[in-house]
Amino acid sequence: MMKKVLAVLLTACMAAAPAAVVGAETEHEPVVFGFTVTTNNNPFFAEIEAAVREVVEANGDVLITSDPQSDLQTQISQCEDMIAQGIDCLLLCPIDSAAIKPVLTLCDEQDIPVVNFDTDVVDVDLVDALVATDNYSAGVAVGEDMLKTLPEGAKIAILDIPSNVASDARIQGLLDTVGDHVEVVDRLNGKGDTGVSLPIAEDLIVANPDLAAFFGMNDPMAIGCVQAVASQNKEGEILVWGVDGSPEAKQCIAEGTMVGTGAQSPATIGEVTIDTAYKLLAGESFDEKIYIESFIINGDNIDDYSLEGWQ
Amino acid sequence: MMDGAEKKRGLAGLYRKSQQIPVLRNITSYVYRNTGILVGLVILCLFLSFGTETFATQTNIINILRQISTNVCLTVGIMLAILLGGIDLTGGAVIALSGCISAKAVMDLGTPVWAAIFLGCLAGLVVGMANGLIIAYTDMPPFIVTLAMQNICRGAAYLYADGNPIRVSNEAFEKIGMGYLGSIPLPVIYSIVILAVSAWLLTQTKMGQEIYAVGGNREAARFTGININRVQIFVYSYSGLLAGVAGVVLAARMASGQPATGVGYETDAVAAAVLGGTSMSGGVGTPGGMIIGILVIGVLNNGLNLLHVNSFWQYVARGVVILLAVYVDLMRKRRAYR
Amino acid sequence: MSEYPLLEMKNISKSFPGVKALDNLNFNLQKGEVHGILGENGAGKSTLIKVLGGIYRPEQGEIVIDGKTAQIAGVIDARKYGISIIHQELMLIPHMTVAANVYLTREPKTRYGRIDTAKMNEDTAKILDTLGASIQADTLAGRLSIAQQQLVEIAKALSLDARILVMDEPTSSLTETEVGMLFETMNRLRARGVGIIYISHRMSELFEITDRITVIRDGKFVGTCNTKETDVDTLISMMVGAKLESYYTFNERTYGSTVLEVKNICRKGTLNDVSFTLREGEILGFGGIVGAGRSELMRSILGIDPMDSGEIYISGQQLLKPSPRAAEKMGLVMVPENRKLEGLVLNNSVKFNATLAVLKEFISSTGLNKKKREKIVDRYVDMLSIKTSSNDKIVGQLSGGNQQKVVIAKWLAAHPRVLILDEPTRGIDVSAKADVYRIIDMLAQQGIGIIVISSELNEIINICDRIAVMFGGRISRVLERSEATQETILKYATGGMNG
Repeated sequence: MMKKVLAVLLTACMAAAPAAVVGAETEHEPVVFGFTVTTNNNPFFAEIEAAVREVVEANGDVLITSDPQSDLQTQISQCEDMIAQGIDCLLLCPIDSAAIKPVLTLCDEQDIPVVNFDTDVVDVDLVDALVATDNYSAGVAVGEDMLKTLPEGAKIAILDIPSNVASDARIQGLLDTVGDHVEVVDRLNGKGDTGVSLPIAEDLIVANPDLAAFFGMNDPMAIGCVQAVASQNKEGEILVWGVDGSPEAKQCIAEGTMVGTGAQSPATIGEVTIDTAYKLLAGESFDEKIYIESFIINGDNIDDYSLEGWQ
Repeated sequence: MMDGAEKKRGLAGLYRKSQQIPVLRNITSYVYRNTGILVGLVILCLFLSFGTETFATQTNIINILRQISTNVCLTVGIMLAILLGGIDLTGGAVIALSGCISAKAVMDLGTPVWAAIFLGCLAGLVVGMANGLIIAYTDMPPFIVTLAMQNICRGAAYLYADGNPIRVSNEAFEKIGMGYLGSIPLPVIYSIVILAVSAWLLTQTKMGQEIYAVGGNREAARFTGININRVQIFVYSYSGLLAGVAGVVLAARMASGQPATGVGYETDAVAAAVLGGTSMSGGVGTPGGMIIGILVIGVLNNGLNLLHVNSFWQYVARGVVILLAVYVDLMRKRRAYR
Repeated sequence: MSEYPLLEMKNISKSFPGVKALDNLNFNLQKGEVHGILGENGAGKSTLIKVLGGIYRPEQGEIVIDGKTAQIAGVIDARKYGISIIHQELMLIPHMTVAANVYLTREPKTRYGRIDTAKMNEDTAKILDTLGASIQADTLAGRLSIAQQQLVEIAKALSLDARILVMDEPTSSLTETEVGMLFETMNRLRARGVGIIYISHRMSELFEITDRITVIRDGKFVGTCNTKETDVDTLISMMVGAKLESYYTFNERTYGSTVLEVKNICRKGTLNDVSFTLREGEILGFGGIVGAGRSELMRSILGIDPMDSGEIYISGQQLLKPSPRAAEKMGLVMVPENRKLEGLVLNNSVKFNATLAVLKEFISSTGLNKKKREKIVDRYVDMLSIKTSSNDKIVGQLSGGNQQKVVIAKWLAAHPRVLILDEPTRGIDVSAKADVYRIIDMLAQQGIGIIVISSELNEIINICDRIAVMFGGRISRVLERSEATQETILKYATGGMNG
């Protein structure tokens, strides 16, 4: 209830803001973009939003952001509100790939183009363009790093979030790449949280005395593994990989407590998304499906990246 | 009438005899009061000792004790709130908030480590006190108040940390969570101190007796001249403070302030309290029982990992154990009422 | 005349933890009869009604209606058999109309499925008419007087085709004229063949309206008399039992100085300029009907309810801001009327409860002194002869009488100067009652000033030195022991108008 009230207030504030901007700009009728992600709490999405906003505002246009806080119903109703406010284009990262359909149908009826980013929707024919994070390639990037580092037959343990599309894709990418080179001895639910992953990783170290490495499906879980390795005095013996490329993970890589992370660049996703949207609105040609590849950040290239923010 | 029936039962007879020796009296009455759950813990430990090679090792036992230290803080707080006939759902969010506050203090604000620890704990105390004041003076249900406060704290943690985890590289701060006293990890020492203080509070002080009275029958407590508001404010403040402590220690263990951590930690804490014989309707529960409850949850979580049990089955197993333990306890109590 | 009675209850037993509420009870009701039920508080009257109304299921016994065994498993079943109960607290919903209350959950529908308000009003008006009541069917129930609301309840019962009507203390808040109207209505129902079970403490009314009276005591059937062939004395001795004399304890005492003085307490709507004094070693009884303001007076003295004006002095010192805490500090304590709700922490031990008011005496900064605590408990368990297998026994498992003694123990431990006992013997068995009387006498001999509030007239007549009779929020008369009789108390308890 509380969340909903706050969310509505936020939307109202954000809706009021562009009105002031419109008055100031007289050169051209500003284009209004609607932007929605899973939750603005996640720094990854905050980074995407910042990149999109920079481009939009540079062009003198307007970006309306809604924060559904991981609640599907909130996301749908916020999208409906934005459509009612007369947005020209919707930039959408769905909370639920299938259940977002009513929003897509509504946009279709009102001829509002939709650029889908990060997580792809099920009804792809209802969106105009897709800028997807290639989660599979993140797993592949880590897998390739593992192949280089780990000996044949090494035992690894995975912390994941079960039944999460991104999680499954990353792990599939990893498994397809490493093949029989390593053996997965345990795969447990770290709930994406450092605090939850830490004790589980400790138990796994005890349960598997010859464990060679951890793969954290995202960086917070990988950090939990890093701390578990430290608490069990296994630094250097058990290696840790993650996915995200978060500042925290990069600091660990720089310190040498983590080997690598399958990095994604939220800034790039944001830039490509808004670029596609402008092309679409201008009637220029564009790619209907763009996959943003992930890449490995490890000890070899860590110096190329800032440790403070995302890449 | 009751005496005759008790003498007939072998175990109870032994119990009566042991009551005559002072030292044994404390131990045996402790065992007698917590039979159901204690038997559960022993079976669980025996099973894991034979079922795995690694359970009964020094490393693993130290690991378990260190792992449960967070839950110790939360369970004590929640147990007191439940004893009072309420509940405190803010624990997990306070852990995130106080962790972020102390992490940021050390890293970004350059506060000395002792002051950062103090600030983290203070944050917990303030949140708890706010809970207590609101509950005492508005009569809003504790469930709602602490649920709302949980959201506020979670939001505050994200806002304060700017959405990102705050990495800490400060050896003195990390020591709080990762250091040792001899061969015992510091978090285990904190747990022991907290449990001892809380047990003393409940059994040896006026406030402790008043908590049982208010939780057992609020009207009777009022007629007896107990200041109910004072008791409520104390309990929620204490609970908040302990969550603050847990947050600082966990942040030190993770070497980072994590605004997203601690979600749903209250579930394990409630489970531990109830397993330990705390009645959800208030007024009934002992610190001794609670300790066993915490151990059962800790050993269970550890054991399932050691047995390589799949995440989905882990959920099922936890649910079944909680149902069984509470059922056994209920049966025992019902028999006592006859 | 049919060959069977309308209702027969045979060998009904029902017990609750610690109390046998109904014990092999027998009762029968004829068609067109008004049958009074008489018994002390806790004798089992309300349990009997609840069994009949399907709220409680008896452990044993049979209910026979028109010669056929009736299975009453719930409230709905009771309604099917034509049983309707009019409770002491009326159950109308104030912001709904009279008709809507009468037809609640059974509203007539139009063809289109909407509530047929017109028909509902019409039918209600008809029923009210047969009762001779001048009440509009479409007025809000909350606007009616208590007596009118009662008529609506009766109308509701009739609309359900009630054949057995139970009325629980229906006259407790009615004026003399209203009582007369109620009796007229009852006579009309009687003429229609409805059987009425009438529960009341008021002897005069029972003699006026009933055909027969059944007396129950401690859940047991004592006897049924034809009203015309019996008298008040017979009924009271049936109610109280034969051991009347040895039952109460009263020893002559010498009184000390004034320990409690209450001056001009007023509280809007409940208390009207109440003053009284109490001396050390004196037992002051408070009599009066429910709602006369006795419990309210005590609640105000203790600061549980605020008072508008008035002064309270304990041993000459003024109690400035009354609260249970402040009163206790000055030595004024109360054993509340409802020991389960207000007196005891039921899920905790005898030891815990008995020492709850004196925690300071055995808890210091170094911790809790168990031996000291046990000593305190032992002293009072012994003094009050509390029957418990150990001091650690959970209070909820004790009998009602022993529970009551634990509440008394809690307050005795605090060494009070004034002890207020509100209905100290409600719902406890006869021997425990005798114990409580003995304890009260003993405490008075030790110099404690004691106030006893009781609805059982014989109780206060036999154990008190003086009796303050309350009526309508004021003390209408303070009677000396020598002048206190049932008649005098009743006279002043009803404002000196009747009796």
